[in-house]
Parts: sequence; structure tokens; C-alpha cells
Amino acid sequence: MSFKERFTQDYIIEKFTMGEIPIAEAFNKLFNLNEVNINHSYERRIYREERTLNLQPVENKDKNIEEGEKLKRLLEEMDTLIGLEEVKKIVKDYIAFIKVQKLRESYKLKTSPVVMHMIFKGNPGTGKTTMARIIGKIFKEIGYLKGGELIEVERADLVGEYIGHTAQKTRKVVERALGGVLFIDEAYSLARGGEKDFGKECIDTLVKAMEDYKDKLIIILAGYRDEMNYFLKTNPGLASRFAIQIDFPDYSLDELVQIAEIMYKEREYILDDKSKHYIYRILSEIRNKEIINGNARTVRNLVERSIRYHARRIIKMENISRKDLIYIKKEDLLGEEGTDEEMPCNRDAQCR
Amino acid sequence: MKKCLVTGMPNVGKTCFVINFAEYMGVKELKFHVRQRAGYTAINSYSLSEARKKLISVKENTTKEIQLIKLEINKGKTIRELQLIDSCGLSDGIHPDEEVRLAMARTLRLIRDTEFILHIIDIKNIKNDKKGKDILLPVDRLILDYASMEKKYAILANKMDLSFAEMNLKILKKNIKDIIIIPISALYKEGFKEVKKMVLSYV
Repeated sequence: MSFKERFTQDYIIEKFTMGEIPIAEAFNKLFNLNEVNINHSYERRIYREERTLNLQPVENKDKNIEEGEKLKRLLEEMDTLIGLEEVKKIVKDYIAFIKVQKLRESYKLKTSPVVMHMIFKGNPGTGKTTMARIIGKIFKEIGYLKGGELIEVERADLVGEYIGHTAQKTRKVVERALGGVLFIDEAYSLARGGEKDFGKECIDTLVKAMEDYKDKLIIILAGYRDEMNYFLKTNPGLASRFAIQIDFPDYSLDELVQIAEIMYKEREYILDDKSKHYIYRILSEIRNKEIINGNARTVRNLVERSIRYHARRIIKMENISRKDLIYIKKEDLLGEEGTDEEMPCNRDAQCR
Repeated sequence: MKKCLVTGMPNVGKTCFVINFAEYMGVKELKFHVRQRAGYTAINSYSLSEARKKLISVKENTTKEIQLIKLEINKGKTIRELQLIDSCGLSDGIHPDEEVRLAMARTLRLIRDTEFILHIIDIKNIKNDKKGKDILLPVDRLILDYASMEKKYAILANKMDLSFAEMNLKILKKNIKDIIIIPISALYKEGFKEVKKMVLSYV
């Protein structure tokens, strides 16, 4: 067998390995060499490169197993989030959809394009950012995104100071987010300034980016429900471009308490019976006072504050036992000398 | 040393045949020379029952590495060595799993390079001979067309222990002439005598 024949045969076998030709075609070509000729040196080079890339299946196998487990772990992480049943269902549906599309592609069937831009509507502290972060990781695992990181921006990061500046700035942000998730918080503020506002320019740039990088980027717009609805009304093109609109409902009181318990568990603290009862009372009070702020972030602040107070109480004691270090008591939740301190529950407080 | 490739579609009993045939030829402990994809050859040794348990399964494409067994055959007064090569089954179309495709590609290379091919056909895959319809599945037909022209070649019709096997064997023998067809049952070691005779004539 001449060198050229042998090389051609190797090329066909390689093409079969890549999944480009079915076995019948491979067979016919392999043993009827007249039909095939490869003069294209460029193509040959690519095939060499691909071969060097793909001939490490031993490693790949380990990686595949790990990836499958990673996805499982991420889904488990998502399931541990309290509530948000609707969101979880939608995410799982889309994972199945993308997987099926990939399978269809491998069988050379027609695929419908997957556009994953989303709108998250809900009050602060309802899990929008957390969800976006997990979605980024999950879509990286199933191979839809390359990077999977979340880039969180707001109006100030996108809108510029003079005419033409905004488009530049926005484009830069989009380029930074390619291969991951671009999370725009309080997106409605982009449409707030009226006709002359630069926010409009930003939206136009984003819309173009959404079309250009359909499969490389997930753009998520997030904000309060009413404002977001208004925002979508002002830009009729926007609503149709975001196929997925997810509502994040406020947590119920029970869910909030569950969240608090999980947070304590993560930090290896335990609520005793009295303080458990008390946390119900505190949370219901906060919910009644300010509807918007009665959410998961409030709970986190409450938990962190109680841990701080717990430390302050413990350090004064003489013999500190293991039990003392674990159990959170009623007075830790109450704050100083039983007076109700104002809750640091809005976003600014968190930043500080 | 002569080489002998055992090939066929997935799930026809290639590995089962290789293990049981090795036992029939008097091998006590199986030493599989598994060609690792990193490039070196590892030797996995199994006892016979262990090998059956680990390597044979009802799932498709269990064998992904190329496995070699060295057989020593007494021919007259000399001892000849034969390498029995167990390969990954070839299935129709494009397999979605890249790993399996890679294994199949290795089988294709072996089909090209090996001089002696034992083609195992599942007797239940033989279809009724209506006019204009092929009794073999497309992949089997491809292997047969190529190998019968260029190589030393024999068909082993496996799973003869099934009830309708005799009928299908008749159809097979009627339609394919001038090619050695040996009915075997790899599981129950039937028909191995003929296979041994065939192999001896080659070595």
C-alpha cells in the first residue's frame, strides 16, 4: 500500500471518528479509494490539529465523569434553595431542551436555535442574583456557555456621559461578559430618563448584542416587578426578544424561617426552641412593616447580626463549653438589652 | 505471529466467543493485552469466570479497547502462536458517543490491516429473503463485501442455541455462497471444533 493511499485511509477513519460521516460511507470510501482525493493542505493541517487535540480520551473520560457529577451537584445546589419552584422547573426544562438539541445535532437532524435571554422580575432578596449565578454554572456544564461566570452590572456601568460614549461603554461590558452571563440589575432604570436619556442608546446596543451573540451570551435583566413591566411596555421590541420571563415571588413566612435555619446550619449554629419561636415573631413583624424588604437578604442580615451578638455574649462567660458555642439564644436575636434595634435590611446597608 | 480479528456488530457475542474459544484451546488464565489509548499496552490477567463476569454484558459496546489474547496451538510437532483480537462492534450510522466512535475507528483500521477475519453474525439478525431485500444488516453486508474479496474470511453464525436459528441458517447458506459459514454457539461452546480446524489451516 502506498503512502498516499494509507494517508487517505487514515483521513477517512479520522473523519468517521469526528462523527462527520456514517459508517457505510466510511466503508465505501475506505475501500474504493478512487472517489476521494484530498489536495487541500489546509484541511489536512486542521485534521492533524484535531487529532492531536482529541487523542487523549483517557483523560477525557475522567473529565466527563467529573462533569456529569458537577452538573448533578449544581442541580442539587439549586434544589437546596428554598421556594422558587417555578424557576427551578423552567431551568430544568431548558436543560433538557438544550441536551436534546445537542443530541439531535449529533444525529444530523434539524435543530431549533436556543435563545436563553431572560427577564427576572421580583423584589430584592428573592434570589434573583443567586439563581443567575447558578444558571451560569449549569449552562457552562452542559456546554451552552464557555465561561459561565456572572458579570453583574447596573445603569452606571452601562450609561456614559456624552453622546456616543454609552454605546462604547456598553459594548465593552458585553465583550467582557461573552461566554458567560450578563446580569443587569435594576434594568428598568435604563428607560427612566425619558426621550433624551442615554439609557435608550444603551438598550439599542444591548438589543444588537443579543442578536449578534445569540449563543455565546445570556443576558438577564432583573428588577422590581411593576417597574420591569412598565419598562417592557415602553420598548415593544424588548418583550418579544426575551422569551423567558420568570417571576420571583416573595417568600412566605415559613420559607423565610427555613432559610434562616439553613443559614445557621451552614455556619454551624443551632437555634434553641425559644429563639426559633422568636425568629418567627421578628420576621413577621418585619414583613408587616416593610413588604419589600421582608426577604432573604433581611434574614441574612438578621442571622449575621445574631451571630455577632452571640459572640459578644459568650466572650463574657468564664467557662465556655462546646454547647455554648453552638446554641443561639433568644437574647442574641433581640439585640442590645432586649430593645429592638433597627434592622439593617436594605441594599445600602449590605454594601456598607 | 499470525493475527486473527474477531469483528461484527455490537452485541453479537464477540468477546464471549474470544473468551470461550481461548478456553477451548486450553488457556487456563486469560492474559488480555489491552492497547491503551495513551499508546502503551497493558496486560490484564483474569481467570476465566472473572473474565466472563467482567467483560461480557448485554449492553451494546461493552468492549471499547482492543483486546489481544495469545493462543499457542500445537500443529504437528511445532507450536504456533496466534493472536486473537477482540474489537469494538460496528454499528450503523453515526454513533453519538465520541469514545465509541474512536473505538470503532480502531476496529476499521484493524479490518484494513489484519489478514484473517472472523466475522460474527447474530443469527437473529438474518431477515427473510424477500425479493430485492438484503438478508443481512447493512454493516454486516459491508464487512462481508470487503473482507471476502481481500482477506481470509469466515462467517461465524452465532447464537445457534436460539429456537429459530436453524431456519435462519438455511436462509443464510442459501443466499451466501462460496464463503465458509460455521454455525456456533459462543455461550455453550458449540461448533468450536470446526472453528479450530479453520484456524489451524491458517496458522
